[in-house]
Amino acid sequence: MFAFLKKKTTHQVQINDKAVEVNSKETILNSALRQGVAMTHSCRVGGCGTCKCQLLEGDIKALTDFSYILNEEELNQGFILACQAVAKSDLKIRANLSAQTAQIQEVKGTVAAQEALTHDITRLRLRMDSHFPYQAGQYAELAIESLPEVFRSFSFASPAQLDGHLEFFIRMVKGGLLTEYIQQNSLEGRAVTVRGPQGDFYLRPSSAPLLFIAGGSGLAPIKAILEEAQQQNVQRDAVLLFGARQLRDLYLMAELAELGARWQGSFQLIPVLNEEPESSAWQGARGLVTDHIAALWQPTMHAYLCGPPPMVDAASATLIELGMDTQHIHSDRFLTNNNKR
Amino acid sequence: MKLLHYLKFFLFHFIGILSAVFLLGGGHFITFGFALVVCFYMFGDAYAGDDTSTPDYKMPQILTVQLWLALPLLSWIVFSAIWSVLDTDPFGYGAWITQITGYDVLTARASNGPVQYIASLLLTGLMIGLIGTITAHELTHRTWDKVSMWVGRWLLAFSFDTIFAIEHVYGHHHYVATRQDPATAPRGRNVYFHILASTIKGNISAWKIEKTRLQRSKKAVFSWHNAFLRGHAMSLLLVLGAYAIGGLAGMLFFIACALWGKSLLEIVNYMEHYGLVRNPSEPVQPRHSWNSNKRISSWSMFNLTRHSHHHAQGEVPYQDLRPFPDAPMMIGGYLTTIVVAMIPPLWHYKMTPKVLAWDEKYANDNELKLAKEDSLNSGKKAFIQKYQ
Repeated sequence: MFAFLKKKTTHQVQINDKAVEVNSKETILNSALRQGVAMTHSCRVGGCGTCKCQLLEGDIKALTDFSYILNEEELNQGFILACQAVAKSDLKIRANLSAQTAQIQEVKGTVAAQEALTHDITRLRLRMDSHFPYQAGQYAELAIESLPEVFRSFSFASPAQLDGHLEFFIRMVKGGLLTEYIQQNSLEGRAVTVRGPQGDFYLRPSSAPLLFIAGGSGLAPIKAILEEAQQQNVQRDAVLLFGARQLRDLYLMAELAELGARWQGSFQLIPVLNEEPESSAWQGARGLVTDHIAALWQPTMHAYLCGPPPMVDAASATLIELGMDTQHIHSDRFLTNNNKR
Repeated sequence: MKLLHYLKFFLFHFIGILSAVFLLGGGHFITFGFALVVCFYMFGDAYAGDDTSTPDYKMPQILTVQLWLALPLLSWIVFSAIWSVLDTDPFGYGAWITQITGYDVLTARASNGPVQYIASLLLTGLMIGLIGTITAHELTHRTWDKVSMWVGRWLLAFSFDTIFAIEHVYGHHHYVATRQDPATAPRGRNVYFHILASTIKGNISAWKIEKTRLQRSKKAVFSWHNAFLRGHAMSLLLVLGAYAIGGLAGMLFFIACALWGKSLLEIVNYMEHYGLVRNPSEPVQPRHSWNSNKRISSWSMFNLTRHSHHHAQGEVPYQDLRPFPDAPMMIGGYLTTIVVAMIPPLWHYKMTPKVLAWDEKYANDNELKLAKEDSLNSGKKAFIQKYQ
């Protein structure tokens, strides 16, 4: 009851060869899943035993009586239920990791909804046949039934959802087989295949203020990261610079403003247009996103960049020039040739 | 409007107090009071729409205390209900109420006849379900919190269902939507059969789970360590309490209320997973529960209605459950659906197409196989025709 009076503390947990950080308010399973370590699990209330793992070092608090599920031998060998254990010290655990982290999975599903976000960006919402775990910021390969084996890579545009829904923003690439097809056809109800997740673009645990820089459909992984961080009550100041050509290329502004209003910390959304005619009614920032970095820059910031390679490279160079350590610059460059987007 | 998000979960306290007042008011107050509560839920859900908000609660401990308050409230309602069917005035309760309110509850009670007794029973059982079982469901999920577990188990004792605290967490959440789950109703089953079957199988399952736990932790099965036996002893204590208050009549009336309360829980189990299937080796997903986001039901039952998320992530406290608008949806709010379930022909008429649509929209390959087998075994023409 008075647990809320206790200060939140964090501990390091070594799960097989992977390290995760857990806090005193969450279970080992939840922190592992949140940080992309897919421990096997099912019911999450201590009723099934799928998440049982062996505690090799350290102390935990049990949230339920493990002897409902674990037999005497397991109890003696230090087995615990990850979904019902909170760390009281740093821990070392031996666990079954689901194949999902070790290897990329291929899951089938259908298109649940399709929506034009701009004249060349389409939002696809997919309903998958089974839960598809990933970390916000990562990407997957997508193919549609009518173009089998034409896989292209797209970033997830929302955090992983328990009901198996996925969201992607697809920008039409001139001459692009899949993207043109998606742009030009109504796809609701069509079968899809998704392969993934892949990529190491995701939010690193820290308390540093955040600088996000997105261009075009590069907004997708940034939106997913912001939403996931919000679900986890991340309390970091954030600035989002969003570069687009013209007014007609802006999208999701209302949705992001709403997210910003609920964000725990300061939140600034700055759209920047570089090809909007001088005569237009646009009152906001103009030019390239890189022109606006210096004014926003703080030495403690960590940066996450995503979009067309020239933008990512230029922004990255600007940040390094300002003195940012390269280890705090994370980026995902959207390539349009070969297989990437 | 943060305050409203705390206040909305006081709805059951409000309805509970109102119900106790109706019971004490006697005569038409009881019959119309019962009708009013039922209409409030059914029409409320029909016209007040959905609540899909997911506010951030900075002080969830307020919500916890709200839940604990259910125990004194339910005790008061049940005491008043027993009192309303007696000729005597235990503890001078009626005289005292008359004195402080100026309303002569003793004279009002004298006008109660069989109709009032039935209405009183239905209303009290409904309150046992609403304030007792549903609150206890949330509390007994908090296996790490001794106070919540204690309050929760006493609330369950009012419907002879303390085993729920064992079976639900360690049985139902593991086996939901599979054939091993006593609380999941297969296609074609009649709700009245389900009430009996699920009660009996649930008790057997809880006994086995508890026995295994005691053996593993090297404790005697027949001892005070046994939560199954302790729980039923708590219910027995309540029955004896009812006898002490109201003699045989009071005791029988309480037993009837408790059984009606327990039946309501089983009807709710029936509605929440009817006809759904899952391969036991695959994790529980939101599609394995029928969900509802109806406003009045959600407020009054603190989001038990958001059942899809509850089963997919049982550790989440009710205030943080998400609405999952894409999950399979129940036919209406909870009380409306209870009423439909109690009229089997209407239930099958409404639900068979919904279950078949579930097969098409949500089921994966393994589930389709199970759905086919269950449909062919359902004894219902519409299910069989579809898969023949």
